[in-house]
Amino acid sequence: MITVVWKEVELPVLPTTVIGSYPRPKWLREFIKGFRAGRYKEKHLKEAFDDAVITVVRDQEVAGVDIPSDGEMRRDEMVEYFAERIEGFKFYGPVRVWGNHYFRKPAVVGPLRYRGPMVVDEYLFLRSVAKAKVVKVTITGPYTIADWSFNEYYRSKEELASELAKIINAEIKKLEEAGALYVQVDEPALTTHPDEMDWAVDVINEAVKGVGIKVGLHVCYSNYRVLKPYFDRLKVSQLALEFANRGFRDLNILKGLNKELGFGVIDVHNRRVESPEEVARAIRKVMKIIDPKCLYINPDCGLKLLPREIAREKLKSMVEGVKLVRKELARKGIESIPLRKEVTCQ
Amino acid sequence: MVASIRACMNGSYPRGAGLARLYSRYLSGKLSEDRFEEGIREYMKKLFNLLSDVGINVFTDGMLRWDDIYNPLIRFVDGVEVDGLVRFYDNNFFFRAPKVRGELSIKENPIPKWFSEALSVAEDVFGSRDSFMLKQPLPGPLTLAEASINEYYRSYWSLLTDWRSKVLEPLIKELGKVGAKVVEIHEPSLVWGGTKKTRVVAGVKELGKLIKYCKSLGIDVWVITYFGYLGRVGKYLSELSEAVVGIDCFVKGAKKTPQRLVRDYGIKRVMLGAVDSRNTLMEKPKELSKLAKAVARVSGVEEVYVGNNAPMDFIPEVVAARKLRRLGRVISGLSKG
Repeated sequence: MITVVWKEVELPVLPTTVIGSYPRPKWLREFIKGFRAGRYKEKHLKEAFDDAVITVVRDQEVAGVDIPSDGEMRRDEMVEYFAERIEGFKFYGPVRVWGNHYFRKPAVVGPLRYRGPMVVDEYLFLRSVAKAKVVKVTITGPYTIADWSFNEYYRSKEELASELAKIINAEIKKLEEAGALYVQVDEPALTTHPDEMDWAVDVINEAVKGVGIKVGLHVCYSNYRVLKPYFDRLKVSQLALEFANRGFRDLNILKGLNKELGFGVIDVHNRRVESPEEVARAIRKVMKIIDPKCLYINPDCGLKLLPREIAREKLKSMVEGVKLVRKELARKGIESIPLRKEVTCQ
Repeated sequence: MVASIRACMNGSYPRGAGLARLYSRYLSGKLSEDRFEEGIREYMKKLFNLLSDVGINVFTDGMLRWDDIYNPLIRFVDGVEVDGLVRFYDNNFFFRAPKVRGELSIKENPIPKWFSEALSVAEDVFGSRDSFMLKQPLPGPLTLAEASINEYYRSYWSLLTDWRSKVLEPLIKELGKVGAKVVEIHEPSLVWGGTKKTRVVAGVKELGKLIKYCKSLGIDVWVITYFGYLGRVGKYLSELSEAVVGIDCFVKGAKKTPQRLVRDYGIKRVMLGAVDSRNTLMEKPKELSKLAKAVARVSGVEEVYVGNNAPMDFIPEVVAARKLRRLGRVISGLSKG
């Protein structure tokens, strides 16, 4: 296992990373079906998950990604996974998210209680198999879990989200204790109710309170104009945002961003593989607004809905595109940046 | 005189696991079109049987073939490319947006044929056409214009007008030819706080024209609004006086109760969205019947329908079925006494 002391961590400029999820290999999907049909034991499923993590970390390493994740191999869905591990939730059945895609939306039917670590083992396994200096662990944020659940118990959504913030905070601290350096809180729902933004931002800050490692915040398919007034107030070091899906419109909202930006350059809902030149063009465009020393490069969102070979090709293209820009930056003497946990980058 | 009260189902009914599998097999080429069509008819019949059992005879086909209120309609429109995923208002639900790159015009499309098939399935279940009301849901002109990524029209107003006159009206005309008597126009953008006031005003005017056009064809119009407060457009509602107007009864911070909205704005025909399709909590029968009766007693109100406030994609099928059963029981109970 590689142990990294915080101050030693240096990353190439424009570090490449993923948002989190990655397509499950076909054999894993078949294995899960077999497990659900009672053909395999739980220990064999765990072994399959471990093998899948090794496989997809390797995919990311071959593509040249600097900060890999475990591809969220063990998670069927980002809210479901946590709701299954927190006391007080119940599942009635799947609901549609788009087209013919569904998730098991949980209902809160009683008081919520933290039962203990939910993703610490995921982190420890990832750390043990990844060669990268830094790995990313993703965790669904309290506001999104609250927004994507049916509330049958708490008096208000705010009260529900506040309870969840305490649970997520406990989990992030467990990750920190285990040695994690970089946690990304996923809050795709954050801007969906503009009238709730004030308390939603407080809830997110509550979830990261007292945490001493790097925390990023991922918000996607959202109205970023609603997010912009809260850039300063969010106590996270990075915002990972989606831009390829929207054809790199709206870049102006980034003016005044005082944090690192995780810049989405790969459309995860389109099977066309972007060329390295397209990726480089997008990066050059955003560098007119964001200092390259405050910039990470990633896909728009999790890659899990793509066929694996396309996800792999997209990551390769992303890294190749970054290399084109890195060459230009090297000529200016900009070659590396530190892993930051500070909430500002200017 | 107290107005009539009827239960109804609006917009979409959730795709259950079986139907989702059917779609998945069809989309991946593992199922022929004939088998897929047969499957759709089976699921539609199952839905109509449920509605018939619980005494709901005003309904849609559950939009079982639709991904959302825009798709597949926008695939059948010249001048439109289907773009990236966009969030559907404030829901964890996404749709592919229409990117408008040329003049809008409806193409040949299967929507009238689908309606005709649904009509025939409904006749199998309910008997004669007089014993049920099958509505065809369609997105409204304002909601379509607001969802559009406009790369062609110089003015928003032309875009809005063309969605009505070059897409919706010709389509409704074709629907009329195959027996459609009611179209259910979904206009969440009319009451959504994010829509600019000037656009809302223009949207109401376009709806007024659409209603007039439909009337000339002998087709009744329901305007379903949700995710926002109807009082926002209260003073313009006279434009919609011929239509059934939908009220979302679960809007936070609504300044007026549904009965006050109906009274103050002179709504004669109303659909009370009193069944929450965004929460699994079951409605209390007493509250449902109390609200329906209170609105029916408002002077000038002629027709009251009670149904789901918004499309039902947001709740699991098992919960939707339970809610419809409860709705049917409560409203049947009212008519019995």
